[in-house]
Amino acid sequence: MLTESDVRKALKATVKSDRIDSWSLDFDFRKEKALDSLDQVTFVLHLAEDCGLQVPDSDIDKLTSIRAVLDYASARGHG
Amino acid sequence: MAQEVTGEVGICDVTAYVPENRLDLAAAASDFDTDEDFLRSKTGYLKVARKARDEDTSDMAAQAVRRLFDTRPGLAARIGLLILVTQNPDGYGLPHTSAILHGKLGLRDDVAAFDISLGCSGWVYGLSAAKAFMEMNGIDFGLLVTADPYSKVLDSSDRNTMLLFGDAATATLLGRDDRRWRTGKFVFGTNGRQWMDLRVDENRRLRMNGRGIFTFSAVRVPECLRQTLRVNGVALDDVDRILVHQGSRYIVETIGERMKAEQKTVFDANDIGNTVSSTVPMLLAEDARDSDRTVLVAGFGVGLSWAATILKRERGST
Repeated sequence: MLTESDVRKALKATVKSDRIDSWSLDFDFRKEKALDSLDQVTFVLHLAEDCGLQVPDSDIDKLTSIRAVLDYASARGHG
Repeated sequence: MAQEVTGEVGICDVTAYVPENRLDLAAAASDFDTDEDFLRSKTGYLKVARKARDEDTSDMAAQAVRRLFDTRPGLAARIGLLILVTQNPDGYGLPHTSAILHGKLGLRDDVAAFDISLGCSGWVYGLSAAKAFMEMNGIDFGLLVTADPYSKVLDSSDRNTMLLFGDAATATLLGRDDRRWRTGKFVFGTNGRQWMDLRVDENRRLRMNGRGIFTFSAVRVPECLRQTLRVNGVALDDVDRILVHQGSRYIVETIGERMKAEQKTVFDANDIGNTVSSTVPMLLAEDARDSDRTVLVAGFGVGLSWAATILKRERGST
């Protein structure tokens, strides 16, 4: 089961910064330009390796916030 | 009767040729919807080298080889093998570009010359092929040349590839005398299920699935490096430097992190770009330090394909 803590851990592993702690559940990574295109694929790699959540290329754009990731995982039985 | 030539073949010298022209990516950043900070921290290339319009693959290759010949008078007459690694040959690929290069260099008629069609893993594959070929056939000196000018197939509107690839060529002299580096055991691999991730399309333009290539690099390459250490019985602590294909700064740093060897994993191609099969020999030519005694080298990319080995400095050589 994917938790908010798992997602934050994957984000921290991606951007290597504690600033993730200040991001709300609905903080939009894309709109705020907090993750660039390379960060996004690294984030998805951490979700796969550390949390077992496989995200196909076609779904990467759906992962816009922590809540969006949790909802995405939940809809696929990881929530 | 020819005298029998025996002994292990190793690397005697490496030279590089980089065209003078540069595409200034920092100046053109906004055209590619990016900025200098992204270039500096992620791709790692502020400029990329571009061959002259009338310069062909064999011209670049010849320039790299002539740098070797200039410092070793009489060497040209002693070459018995010429291998060229390229996927962007002269003309339409027939004849093989190594034959054209052979003519331009004025090598002997009894030289074996052939191309190897591989991308970023090509130099490491070529090293193994050249060494085995020379040892089996008793050849004194061989040339392993890389020249793969991607500018021939880049789509000028494609941010994915325009920000990465540069043109360059290298020449590696292999032989038994005056060796600088001895090679260890090699590890090779191929994943043909993902061949679409880096290819030239029907319009002869390069297409790259950035995510596929990144994930492959981040997952497969560290596995390959660890396997190479294992088969050679070498501990990571005993490796002075890790010289991997310079796909991008981000990829090289990710591999370094995953190997827990950030300090040893070199990124240095700032104003040249990702020069495909030339990046690893260029590091060896220009960045290997005298104190480097054991170096882990790896190439990976198009195919998908990967290869790695250990290089050990010969005693007394610098």
